[in-house]
Amino acid sequence: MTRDVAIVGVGETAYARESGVSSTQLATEAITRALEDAGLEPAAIDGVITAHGNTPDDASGAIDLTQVRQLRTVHRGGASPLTALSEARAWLDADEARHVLVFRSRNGASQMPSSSQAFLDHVLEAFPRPEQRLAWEFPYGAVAPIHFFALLCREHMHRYGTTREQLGAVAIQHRDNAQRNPAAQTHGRPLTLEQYLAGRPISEPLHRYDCCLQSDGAAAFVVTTVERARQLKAPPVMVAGVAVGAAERPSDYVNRPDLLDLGIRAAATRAYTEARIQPQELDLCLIYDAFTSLVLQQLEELGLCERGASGPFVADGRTAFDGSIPVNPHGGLLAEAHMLGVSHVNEAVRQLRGHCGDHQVNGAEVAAVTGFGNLGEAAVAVLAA
Amino acid sequence: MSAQIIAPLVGSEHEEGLRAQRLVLPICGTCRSSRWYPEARCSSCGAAGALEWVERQPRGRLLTWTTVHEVALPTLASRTPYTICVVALDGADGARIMGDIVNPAGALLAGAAVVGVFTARDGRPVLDWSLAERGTAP
Repeated sequence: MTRDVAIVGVGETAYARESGVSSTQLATEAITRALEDAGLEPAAIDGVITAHGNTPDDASGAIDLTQVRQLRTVHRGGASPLTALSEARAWLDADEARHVLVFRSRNGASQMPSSSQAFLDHVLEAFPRPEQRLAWEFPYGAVAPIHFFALLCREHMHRYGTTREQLGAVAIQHRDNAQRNPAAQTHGRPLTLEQYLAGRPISEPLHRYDCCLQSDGAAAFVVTTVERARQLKAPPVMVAGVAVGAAERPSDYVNRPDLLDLGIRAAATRAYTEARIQPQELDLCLIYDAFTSLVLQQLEELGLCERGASGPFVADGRTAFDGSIPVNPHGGLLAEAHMLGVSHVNEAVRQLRGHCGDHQVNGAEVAAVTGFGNLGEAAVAVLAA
Repeated sequence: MSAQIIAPLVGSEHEEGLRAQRLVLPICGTCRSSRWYPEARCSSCGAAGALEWVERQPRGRLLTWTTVHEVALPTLASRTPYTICVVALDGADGARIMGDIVNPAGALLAGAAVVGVFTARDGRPVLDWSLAERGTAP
């Protein structure tokens, strides 16, 4: 039995399309806020984990790196923050660290590569097995994550009859949620079905409003043991379960036996077992929503609805703010900001503390958080008040 | 991960095959099931031994596809719209392959019969796909 750990501090910058400040400066601001939230001094942090695109040194403006005993950069895309949470728990369990910082900072919108070579270098560095991408996918123009997700979305549509209107319900619910969250990039800009349907095609069947935002900003959280958490000022949020998972053939989705397998089911099964809960006991979900279709697929893999039933499930309002299982009450990557999912963890923590103001979900006591990255890498956490 | 097991990019049997207008894919040298993409370890029998390369018929069924209208890569932007597909190959032990559809006009249907079109793009051989003419599909 591993030691119980808790998230004790969360912090972010403001989110924008164009921050005008460096990624390191953004990291400093978010981490400083997370430490203030936890009531911890910078020198208390002795473990640091970040995601590919950052290095632990990006935290140097906010913490004392000479005190750090464990460092990691996780390379699992959107599954990185929860993979980091799992790693943080292992360090705390082994007394290899006492307070672990997890962070992400980025100028995702304002520093997109502009030349073809820079774009290709960026993609090849981000994806696993670049030799496979270069040989068998890039020559056909499949170069960006949206192409992969669009192929899966089409498969879901013809296998289960999923419609654009049902994808639109995902987009609209996320925008509706963002209208209650002043920190969201789309706050003040609700979305109608007419606007959604008129969105220009990017990689059909995915259109403009099926895609996540591009954001500049940073987000951070701090993890420690439950014993230490009880000495700190903020109400601790327990990590009841956290696990990674992978789809079959995680770097070859073309030949994956079940094209719709994301690996979320594998991770969720482990996390639910650790937390000793059934999916029906969840009060809300923070789902890694890089694209609307990815939300539908994960609702099924999380066991919240039957395989193939996610379109009607969402369109019936079950995942809306006042539905039976609210999803991404902050607006998610689709409508709040894209912080690689660190903001999903932070939102879950604030919901479970009951500190979300206008977008507080009633009775939020148990939340699932998901992450998905690269071409088949997943992670799921169950957090509890 | 050994260099002999993961196919080299340039001069690989697959690419050489495309250049000669033949579809050549790897199978497991131990159990002879499909090992495409060439995995270091066979997903059927677990063997990590050498691959063998066999010729497959460039025919199959359309599994899924996406039509790309906007792409951030400037060199690809001039090709839009283009349609990427995944084809389940006939008689190839479940192997699937990615390609472009050369005549995507009209409604594409999952399960439609497609035939391979050997061509070249940016100086390298590629295999694209065309909807099979009615009456000529096997």
